[in-house]
Amino acid sequence: MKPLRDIRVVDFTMGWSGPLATRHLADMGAEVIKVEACQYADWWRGWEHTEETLARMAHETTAAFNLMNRNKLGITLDLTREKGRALVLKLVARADAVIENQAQPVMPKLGLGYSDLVKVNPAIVMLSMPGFGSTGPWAGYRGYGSTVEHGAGLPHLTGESDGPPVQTHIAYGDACGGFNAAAALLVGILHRKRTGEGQFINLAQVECMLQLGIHGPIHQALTGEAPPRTGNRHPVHAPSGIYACAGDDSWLTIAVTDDAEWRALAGAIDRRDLATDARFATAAGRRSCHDEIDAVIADWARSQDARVTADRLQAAGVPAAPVLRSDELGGDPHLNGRGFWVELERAHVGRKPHSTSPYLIDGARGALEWPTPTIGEHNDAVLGGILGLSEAELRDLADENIIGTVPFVPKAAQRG
Amino acid sequence: MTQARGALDGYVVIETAGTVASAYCGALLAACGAEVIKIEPPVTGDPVRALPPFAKAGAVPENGGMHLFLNANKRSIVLDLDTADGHRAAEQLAAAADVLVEGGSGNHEPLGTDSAHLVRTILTWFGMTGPRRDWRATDAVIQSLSGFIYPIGPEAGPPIIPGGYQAQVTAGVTAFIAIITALIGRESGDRGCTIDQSVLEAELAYTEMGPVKHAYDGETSARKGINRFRPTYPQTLYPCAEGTWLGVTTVTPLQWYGACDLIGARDFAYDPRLQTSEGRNDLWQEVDAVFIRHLAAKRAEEWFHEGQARRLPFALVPTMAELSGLDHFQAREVFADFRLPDGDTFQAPSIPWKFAATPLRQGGAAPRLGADTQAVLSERLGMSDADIVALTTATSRGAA
Repeated sequence: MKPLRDIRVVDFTMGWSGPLATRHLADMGAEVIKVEACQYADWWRGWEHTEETLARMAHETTAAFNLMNRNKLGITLDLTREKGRALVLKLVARADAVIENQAQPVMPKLGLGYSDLVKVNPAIVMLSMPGFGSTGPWAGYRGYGSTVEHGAGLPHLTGESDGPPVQTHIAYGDACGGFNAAAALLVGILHRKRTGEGQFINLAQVECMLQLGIHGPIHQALTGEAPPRTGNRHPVHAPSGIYACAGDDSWLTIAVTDDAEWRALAGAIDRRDLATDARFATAAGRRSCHDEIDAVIADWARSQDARVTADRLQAAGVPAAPVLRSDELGGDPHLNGRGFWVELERAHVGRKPHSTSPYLIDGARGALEWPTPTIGEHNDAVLGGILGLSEAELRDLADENIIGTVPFVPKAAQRG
Repeated sequence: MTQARGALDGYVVIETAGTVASAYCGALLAACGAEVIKIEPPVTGDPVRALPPFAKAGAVPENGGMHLFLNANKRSIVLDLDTADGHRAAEQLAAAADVLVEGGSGNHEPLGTDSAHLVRTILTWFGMTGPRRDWRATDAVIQSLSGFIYPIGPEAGPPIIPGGYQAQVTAGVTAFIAIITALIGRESGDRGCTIDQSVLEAELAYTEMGPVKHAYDGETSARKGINRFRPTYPQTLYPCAEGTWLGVTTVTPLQWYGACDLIGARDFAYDPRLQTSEGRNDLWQEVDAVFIRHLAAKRAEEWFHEGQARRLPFALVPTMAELSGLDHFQAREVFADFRLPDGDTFQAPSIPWKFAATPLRQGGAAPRLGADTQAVLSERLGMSDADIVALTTATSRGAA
């Protein structure tokens, strides 16, 4: 199953967001050529390279980098020199799409902006994804995944009414920008396939984050007020909460979405009397007595095992779940039952788990065909195989340090 | 001059009633130019019509804010899929469509299973297989099972549920990715297919690194307190003058020195205990005290622009009231007009992709429940007015 088998993408992205975008394409059969430079390796390999980190191959052993770049071809080219730039333009001329997530001025400065690329490939689809966008008064402002989460106002939608706004604990904007970029780039590729027309696609990661919290601005616009921060309570679900269970730091989430689920919950916690109490018959009634209901559930939950109880509540028809740590997910019976985790052997790290495509097509996930390339691993295959360079030409490029397979120590530190 | 068309112009999508996730997936398809026909049950319509906020009293099923946003630019037809005639009509519509998005609402028989070219998309909380396939869920349930919620909140707990529909929006985009991927495959000669998309696996985009890192070096997820991010610190929110909030992230040493210098705490930056994120994490109370004291001098907006002028990844954390008025978002036309049934409009952030050649539909109006039943059944199935009346009468009776 390779729906994207005809598609070639030249990938200038680094870190999490862009590589997540192109992983979506690579897993579905696209030929993704990841372009690094020994002088400027993907910073997700590590922030700084020293003789010591090179000696222990630290640049090849990062879990996050190795998870994000499987199924891609990896090449190095020094794009600051004309020879490297000319070679990458030859690849662009043979590609369907290009994607980059560099800081704003980097690609045009290298002579690889959209206006440069259309000269060699008028039908190229190019996507750029700066944090705050490439136009407007904040164009060029810098940001990480956290910055765009902050900048979209998302923290104002989470937390207690008398507490601070609350951020999440991942680089939220990176993953969100990544799958939005995959979606938009695929739309551009489909349009090109149908019409032959390429185009420039731009997205601002902060605007992708606005969509995650879309109920906030809608609430503001329709009611004149922001949605109140209500801790673990919910405008529709009642009761809604996270309750301490037996054991250390063990928690159970319960979210009752209708009256039938409430009656089922009352039965499951051996409080059938609550199911017939008229005060609790409707969600509005339960919301107005939420403290009282929480006290009952909390008292009951204290002696329960979170996982066993979630199973039992679900069997009774109540939405409930144990609060899992992400590191526990490798052994998750549901995910494993759906074939979500697969192991892949890679140089320098051995067999390690990978998540697979987050959907199945006709019951199958995208195949994990090869692991994340070591730096410059596919120089010969891509520059020789696709561009037809001879062994002697490849040797010359290596001698001139246009291509290579080891990150440079001094220059990499300067450019970070 | 002809107006540029959307990239999905010419594609027909059938969307059944479901969740925010399936409706958002349909909204993306509609924004890109597809004709999205939503099949809704009689009387109540799509469950998203009942979600708050509401502009006016007595608002269901036409005035819900989430409905007006999620269903903009779609067509609405009413069919009771639990009746044989209603299901047959839906099956005929699906057979002639390019894409089906099934949101998992109701218990009707599957649609489109015999169509050779249809991209069937089954978007459910847990997927079509696996031990939890029949579990019930909400965003909070999914975020609990994905490891997303665990690290958010006070160290002693409980973890905090993020507001809104963040997991479902994520799943809507992910299902859209799968659909466009399959449509590209179809252009290369593939037949139709069935996409099995779960909200849980979409949400794992955020947390899939947890078990992988654990396999590499035994790292476990930890909850260290509200807005206390590990390993980077500060990567947090600070209060500023007049109740405003600033997002501060310092990943590199230069950003740490730069942030301290900007707020007027240069000496503090060179404290030998604070030279690494790890050190700053251990001494977070000292770091917070210094930042909060200095930042109180100005509003967050001022610190934001001054910080960014020095290439510091600072962010104003705008309130919902501030968002639509920010000059940057105005210049980029981030907010679009969505129409209420009475003709009033409200502004909400539109789908954020900027295509140079195939512009998106921005804003727009959502259909009244069943507004297009007559037109769609006539246009697409060639049904006569009498047949349509018979069908709709029968199916609404079936629901009563």
